[in-house]
Amino acid sequence: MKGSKQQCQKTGGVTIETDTKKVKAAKNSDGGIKVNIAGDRDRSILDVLRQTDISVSAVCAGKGNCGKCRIRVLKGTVPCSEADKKVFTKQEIAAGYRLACTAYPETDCIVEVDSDEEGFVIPAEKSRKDTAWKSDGVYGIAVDIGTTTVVMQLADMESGEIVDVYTSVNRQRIYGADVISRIQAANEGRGGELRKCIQEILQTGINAWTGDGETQIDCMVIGANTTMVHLLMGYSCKSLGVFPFQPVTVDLIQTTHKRLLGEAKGGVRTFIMPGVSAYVGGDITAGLYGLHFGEREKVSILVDLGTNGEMAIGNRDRILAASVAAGPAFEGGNMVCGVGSIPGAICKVTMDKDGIKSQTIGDRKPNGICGTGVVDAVYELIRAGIVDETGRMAQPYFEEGIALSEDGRIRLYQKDIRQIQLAKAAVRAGLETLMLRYGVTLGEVERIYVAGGFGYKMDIHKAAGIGLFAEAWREKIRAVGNSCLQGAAKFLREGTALEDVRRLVEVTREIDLSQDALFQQLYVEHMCF
Amino acid sequence: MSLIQEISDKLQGGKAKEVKILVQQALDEERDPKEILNEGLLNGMMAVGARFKNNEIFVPEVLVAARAMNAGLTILEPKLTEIGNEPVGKAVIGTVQGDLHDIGKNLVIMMLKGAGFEVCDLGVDVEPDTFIDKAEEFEADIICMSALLTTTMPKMKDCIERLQERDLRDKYIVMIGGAPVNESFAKQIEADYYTPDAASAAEVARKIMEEKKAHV
Repeated sequence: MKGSKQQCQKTGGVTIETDTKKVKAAKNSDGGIKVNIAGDRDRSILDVLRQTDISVSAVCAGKGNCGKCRIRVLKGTVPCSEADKKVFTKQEIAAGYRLACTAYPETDCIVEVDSDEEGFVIPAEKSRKDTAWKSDGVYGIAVDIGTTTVVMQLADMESGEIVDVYTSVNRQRIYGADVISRIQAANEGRGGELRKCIQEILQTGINAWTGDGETQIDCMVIGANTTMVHLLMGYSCKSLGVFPFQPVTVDLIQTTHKRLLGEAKGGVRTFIMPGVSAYVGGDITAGLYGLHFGEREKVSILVDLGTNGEMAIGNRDRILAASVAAGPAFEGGNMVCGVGSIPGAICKVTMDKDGIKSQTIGDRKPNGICGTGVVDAVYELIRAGIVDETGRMAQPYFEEGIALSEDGRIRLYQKDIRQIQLAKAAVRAGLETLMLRYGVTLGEVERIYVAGGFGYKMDIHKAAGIGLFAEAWREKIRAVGNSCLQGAAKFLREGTALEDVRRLVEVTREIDLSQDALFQQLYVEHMCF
Repeated sequence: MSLIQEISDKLQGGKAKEVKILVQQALDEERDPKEILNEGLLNGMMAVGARFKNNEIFVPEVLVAARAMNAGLTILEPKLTEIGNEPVGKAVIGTVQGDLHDIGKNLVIMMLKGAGFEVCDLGVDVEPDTFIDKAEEFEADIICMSALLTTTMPKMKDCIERLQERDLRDKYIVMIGGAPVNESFAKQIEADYYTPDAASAAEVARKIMEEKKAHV
């Protein structure tokens, strides 16, 4: 059992008390956090946790649909909800398992939360250097505010060298995994809370570097999707979440730390990358900039594989961009045993005559499967003939799913395969449509850059095997990692950055794939393997 | 295998051309058009729906099966009109205002047709009052609304409120669906039914109509 009281005392659990809401939490060594919750029949436990700094995965934004915000009631009365009955077995319910989002405590209680999210593995491009950076230099900060994670780099303004990195899970995740749920939360009056999540992360990152009082920060550049920018700036998200998806602005924003974060010292110049539309944001502009699209004569493609698959094709004269709703499958969001890239997530799967072997992040006991693991597993299952070209699993796997962990707890089910079919078809159809609408054939495309943490770790051969990419694209594909962060860092270095980025946005146009008949046709076609 | 059974089988396999030929053959043999419809085409499509619901088959297979059903229907419809065959019921369906997703909605349309419904597709980005106006015009029994975005779900509530304001709430059955929608949301906005997938939607719609007719 995770986090028993004895264990907690043995490891010297710390008690965290947040000022405002008086939520008491004790953390123990294996990731479990015990939290005291006051009895309140009108307020869900998820909502209480939102006021703390405890990370909980709430993919569906607390509707009781995704089954990810599991907690365990150790003491007190929390009635079992309809959603609980769908997600948990009778034994689990009896053992106190509940979904935080539909848990309304009748009495004061103690609940246990898995805080695995805290170990979220965030590809940071460059890890912390061994040698400490000198405090008398002049530095800049490049920031990528992603929907899932936030990465900040400290760069030496003279040499351009990255000297330190700070990463964090985007704590807005507790309001839902995708941008739409964040927009909805903001529209329901929680915009301030969402804004604070990001402000605090930025502030913590900055403090880590300027705490000594001597380090001089000259400039900060932020790349983020349009929703993240709206939330950070405190803009209204009213028209962002419904067709025709109108942002308040996607222009380049010039501001200061102080204006952005309120408390920050000094008036450090801050730039926020301009975007193209509500769903092709400054993160994509930063990526295009970082990958030198503005200087290229030959046509290349950039695709960022996140919850929204954002993509662009073009060269210095003309760029077409689009986004597709890939869903959270590649981030483990809507898979039965899906998790983010946290320690214990199955990230690699191989299969031979002896059966299935899997590896987890940090070689920990498997606790779920993340995007790369899903791609691997599906690839192996197709190869073994267990999944046919229509996506159907052979018996008995069709009924029972297939075990990916030795103890048989972590499984891939038929309905997970269906989610993957939708996700990969959306990306593939989007890329093919973009090429056709741009008017080029594959032969004329020089490179296909795959960005994003998932794309970086993914086995391209296997991704092509499940049809996420065409086999013929393989030699052109380059996994580039966090292209948004690279673009923000380049912005810090280059003297002509402002004009270059403005020009890049000027030549970029968005096409709406959801209204494109060709896309719809290809989408259905690519659902098969 | 009987000819009618063969129509159902070929439809399930998505063989549009063969379904067309077989339906024509059945008509030439002077089989009852209602039998061809119910035991052949609709029986086949209901089987497809059941397998889709059970995850045995997926969107592409449903689409080709629906294409085969439509191919058969084109041949059969003039005959059905001639003999005055009544549909099981009538439904208007659309994706709510501010939302452009239509694949799920289109699957529901196919399943409803497969269950014998006459369906009026209002498309995407449909205003609350448009659902009601079209339902009135079409003399519908059921209003079906789909939303794929958390941000557009409230439009379903708006439509139900408009029905109340226009004193038409009791006249229509309201069914809702879409990825972020669930049972408790349906209760909250006082929709009549929530169904998690297209096949269930058609099953429920059919049951509603049977009950409605039993009460008349």
